[in-house]
Amino acid sequence: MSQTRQSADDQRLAAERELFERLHDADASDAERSAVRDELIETHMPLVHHLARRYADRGEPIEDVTQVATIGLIQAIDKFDPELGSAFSTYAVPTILGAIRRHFRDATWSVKVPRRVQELRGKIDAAHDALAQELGRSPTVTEIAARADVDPADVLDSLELSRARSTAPIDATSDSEVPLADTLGDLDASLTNIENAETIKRLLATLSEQEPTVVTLRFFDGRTQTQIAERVGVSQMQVSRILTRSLEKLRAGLAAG
Amino acid sequence: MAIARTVAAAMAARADLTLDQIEDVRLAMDEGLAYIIEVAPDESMVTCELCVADGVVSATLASTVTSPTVAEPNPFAWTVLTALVGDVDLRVDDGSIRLQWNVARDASVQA
Repeated sequence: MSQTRQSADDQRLAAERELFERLHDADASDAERSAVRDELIETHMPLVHHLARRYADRGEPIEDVTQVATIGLIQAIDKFDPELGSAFSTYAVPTILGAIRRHFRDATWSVKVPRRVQELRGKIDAAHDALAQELGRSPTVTEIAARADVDPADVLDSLELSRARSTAPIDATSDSEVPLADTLGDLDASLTNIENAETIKRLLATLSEQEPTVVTLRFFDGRTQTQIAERVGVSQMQVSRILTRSLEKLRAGLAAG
Repeated sequence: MAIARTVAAAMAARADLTLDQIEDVRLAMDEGLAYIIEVAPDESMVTCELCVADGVVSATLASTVTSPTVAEPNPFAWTVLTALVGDVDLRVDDGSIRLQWNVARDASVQA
């Protein structure tokens, strides 16, 4: 390590030490301590952003990752004991990373994976959690494989897979390719029209006397009520009544399926 | 870089490091390579050597450099690297830059 970096580091460490001493100063007021705590949080935010960016391509919004990382930093500041002599960053980095990794472990999987892989992951997760509790540290691949009674290679595969959780947008394009969305079939809207037409035809047949004629002239031929009245030989008032009655019947028929 | 990360993680798993340590190795690889690639001149070769022995994974990332003064690593990258892995050592001499670090198996793991 170079001379300049060494002395810059020493200065930074000394300043940091002083802040933590003030944070734990029994004589300081709550307001003073709170101000020191804020300063510690703010000076370490670039570290939080740096770590969060390392997890930027894993399918979780960077804002969410930054948020859990910040909570990790605050926990580290509250729990750090400067008396133990180590630098704060040595304690903070694993704490922040722990928060980020927990977030990824708990986040739901947006990729649909085969049942076998899902079950395997369930077994491995259970073994991982139990071992972490018992050992008081993160377990190894061999330990997980032995506990879950699976092949160590499967544990490794599952770990790799659980990193590949992100989904690409369906309309994302690479240079030469047609967007995936454009290559997928869709339900043809005219299929619904056919269904409707068949249903209406069936329902029209249930109408009596002039009703089918009036409905057809009004809605399929687009005639006005007056035109229909002339054609069928009734008053416009009667046409209006026939239409209202017919539509009620049709609606009831549609609702009944 | 993705390949280097994955290979390093697989070797760390083989060395019986814990899952958290495997993640640390992956991240240290990321930080280290990002730095070396940044300071390495265009068209130069970046090498990445990984060694597993007695439960210790050691990495050596290296490249040639054209100038004896090389840009310092980003302080956050350095902080993260030194917090994650042990014996971090950066050397620039004879037209080459070399970054080394290692991670040792947890003492409580039965080999």
